[in-house]
Amino acid sequence: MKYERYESIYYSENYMEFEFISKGPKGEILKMVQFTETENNRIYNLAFGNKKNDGKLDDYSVNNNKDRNKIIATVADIIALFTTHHPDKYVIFIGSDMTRNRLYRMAINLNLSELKSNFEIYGLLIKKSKWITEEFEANKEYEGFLIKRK
Amino acid sequence: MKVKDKKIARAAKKMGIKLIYKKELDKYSGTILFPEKHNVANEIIKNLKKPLP
Repeated sequence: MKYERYESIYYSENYMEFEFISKGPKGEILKMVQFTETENNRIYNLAFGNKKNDGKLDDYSVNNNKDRNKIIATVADIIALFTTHHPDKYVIFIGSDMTRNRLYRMAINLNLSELKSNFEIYGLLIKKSKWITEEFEANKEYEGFLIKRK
Repeated sequence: MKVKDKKIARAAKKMGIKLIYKKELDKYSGTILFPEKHNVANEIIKNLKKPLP
């Protein structure tokens, strides 16, 4: 990733939960990332969001903390760490809306050659009410993404 | 606590990341913190037309 990233990352013992602190004009915001095993034990879901002061989590809020790219680069680093520990697992990630999916796609596009040397990357699409995976194509709209270490 | 998985420790070092163990995070293990996203992922996986690549 070409962007700056947050260098301090907190982790749980089983490397399924991670945290880092977003810093910007809105102050410090605790971000939490979690991987959960899905019904298919080869696939782990990636979700992330804000950890609020009351301990609750919010994956829809928009921070406007002026560090969007830094957050994405940090989440990408966390995926790299997780897949180092689980090299045979797929990670699925789906944005909360099309704007976020577009953002993820742009982040993948910007680093595609670097990512492709280490990861298999697939886009998720709906066709005739069934989900399909296809090899990620730059600039194509996807509903979600699947990634696995090569 | 030192990072137990040497591969992760090496990868973090290479990426310039300072990994810090946080015991508080262990309490979330086994709890799905973002159930909506998790359910969407399961729904997609159930309805995948082709098996995984």
